[in-house]
Amino acid sequence: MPRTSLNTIATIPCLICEAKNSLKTALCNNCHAPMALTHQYAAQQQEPCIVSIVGESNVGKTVYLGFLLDMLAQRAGKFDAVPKGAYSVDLQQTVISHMASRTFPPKTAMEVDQWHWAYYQVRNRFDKSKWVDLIMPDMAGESLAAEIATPQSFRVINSLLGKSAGLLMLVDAGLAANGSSRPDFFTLKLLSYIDTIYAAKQDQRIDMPIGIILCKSDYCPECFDNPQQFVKANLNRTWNMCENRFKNVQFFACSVVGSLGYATSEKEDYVVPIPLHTALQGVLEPFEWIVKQL
Amino acid sequence: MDRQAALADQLDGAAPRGAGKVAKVTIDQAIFTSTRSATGEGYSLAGASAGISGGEKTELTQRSPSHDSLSNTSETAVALSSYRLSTTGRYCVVHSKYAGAEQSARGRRIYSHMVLLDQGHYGQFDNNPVVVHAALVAAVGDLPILKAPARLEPLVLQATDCGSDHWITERPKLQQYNASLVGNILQVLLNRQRLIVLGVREALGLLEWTFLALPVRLAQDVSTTIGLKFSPSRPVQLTFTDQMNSRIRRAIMGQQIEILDTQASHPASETPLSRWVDLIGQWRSRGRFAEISTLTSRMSDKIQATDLQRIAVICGDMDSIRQAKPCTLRNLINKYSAATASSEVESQLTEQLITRAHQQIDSQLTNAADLPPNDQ
Repeated sequence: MPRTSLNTIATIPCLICEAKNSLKTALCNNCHAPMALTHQYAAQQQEPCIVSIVGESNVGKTVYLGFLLDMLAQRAGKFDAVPKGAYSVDLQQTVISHMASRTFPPKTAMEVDQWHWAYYQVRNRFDKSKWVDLIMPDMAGESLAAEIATPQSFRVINSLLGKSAGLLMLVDAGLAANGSSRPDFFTLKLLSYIDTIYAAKQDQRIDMPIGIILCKSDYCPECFDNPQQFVKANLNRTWNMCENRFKNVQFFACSVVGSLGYATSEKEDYVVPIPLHTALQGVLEPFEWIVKQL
Repeated sequence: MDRQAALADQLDGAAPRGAGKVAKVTIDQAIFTSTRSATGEGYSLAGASAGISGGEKTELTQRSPSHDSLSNTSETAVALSSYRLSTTGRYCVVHSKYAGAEQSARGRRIYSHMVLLDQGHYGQFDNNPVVVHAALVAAVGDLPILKAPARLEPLVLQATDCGSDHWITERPKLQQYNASLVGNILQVLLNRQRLIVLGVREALGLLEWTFLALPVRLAQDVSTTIGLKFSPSRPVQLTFTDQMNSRIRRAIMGQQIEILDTQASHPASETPLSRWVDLIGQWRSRGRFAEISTLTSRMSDKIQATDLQRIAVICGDMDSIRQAKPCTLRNLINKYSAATASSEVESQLTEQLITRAHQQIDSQLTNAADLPPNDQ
């Protein structure tokens, strides 16, 4: 029997960053993404599409993705969806259980090994189309902000966005409607960062599908009437950037919380928002659109 | 103290640091926590002094603890992390703790105050992150600075000379050290391996002990955390944490990381580096910090466990010279004259031992000659 030397230890490249890892490694040595994604891809023999959910800290990425996955698992719309690996169910379980207890889920830590990753197989069950493998990571907004400010500081984000087949970009519509320019500036920076990744020439526009989702639209219901008009009016910098540099952008409005309460105590100097009940609006539509674009 | 000074002189040729001397060191500082500002909210470097470069800020952001990173959920929990920045080589020591609720009300805020030291300044704290951490905590106090200005002033820390009584009383108290545990930790660090130590209650004291017993050139490259959850985003060589859990198991799969569970019973075996650990323990309990510092600073970073054991034997024999009888002294001289040293430190120690032994023999003969005839 041939002896195995150190030089011939079997390795497998990470699906996200392509760094070589041993078969026993659970987290990539380079980007700390779970190697379970790579093993799943190897088992399925089908290249997955990465759909990245991006947005500022506290915009609602975890809640949105959790509810979306739960809806898919319950055959919402026209979709059949199958989670590949138990880890793919962790996020939706966390979100649903917290919201059922009238609390928002915990903050997503900046450490990559603490992010939730979902690997789902999805298809349109009415036309029995081919199963599409999707990977949807739940990133921390602060890590995204740090990567935008200093590219390559969080290499996994650079790899993810570079490999994404589509993006769902969440924007805080409530803040924007209140006159804050913060959501507009963050989205502009994010789009500019994506522009540099794809390095399109000045007369070319990037054709990666981007769904811009106006979250917390319960604060400003007019979003639902005409999301595009809302972006043009309240997120003008983002609108202009999309027009100039991106070919395939669609705007959506979304809301998860039906009504919010606020709790505080005499001893504390902060207010805790309490989701009294959920009323999902516009959660599935962005996903339907982006799957059609893949 | 005179004897310590004499030995230190013999070891190094340089004068030891003066007793009771306190130096004020001005160093760069930064704060990493979750705040809300006009341009954004969440965990970021809330403030930093001007001397911290862009590359250093990036690395600090990558390695600093964010949401739910402390392993102890108590309100008064603190954490320490220490590492060398790959960008500039400066030493970063971080003090982390809870600071009320995070502004989005999703959990508690983690507040990290860190200082950056160059090699010279780090040496003034005995190359020991626990000592830096203690000075940092003394300097910044209990109240976190949640509305820190973007530009912080450099921080002044107090570095107390390790030869003074003040220093000895200020060190974290470790009344009883577990020699076996220290030996095991040292063995792994000397082999340049990574180690997770589970279930240690007096981790700060144990870490201080470990750094005291490490060769300085090796200690300077040891990164460590106490009180933080293990994360591959914070790659450190030595981690102290509470207990094994699924998160740690997952993170270390396929990695070359040793685990030392202090709560699990181990079969009785010889303590590695027992002689070296015992020597350091004896010198530490007698306040001979300057000698420890001088000895460990002379060692190469390539030193092995067997070298430390031999050096411990030599130092132990050197300590016994004063009380030894002439025949014992002659045996020592014969033994070490025939021995072959495996390192320069060992060679110098051997020479000094032989010299001291001869001096002691001469001194004893002189004393005997001076006695009245009836007393001889």
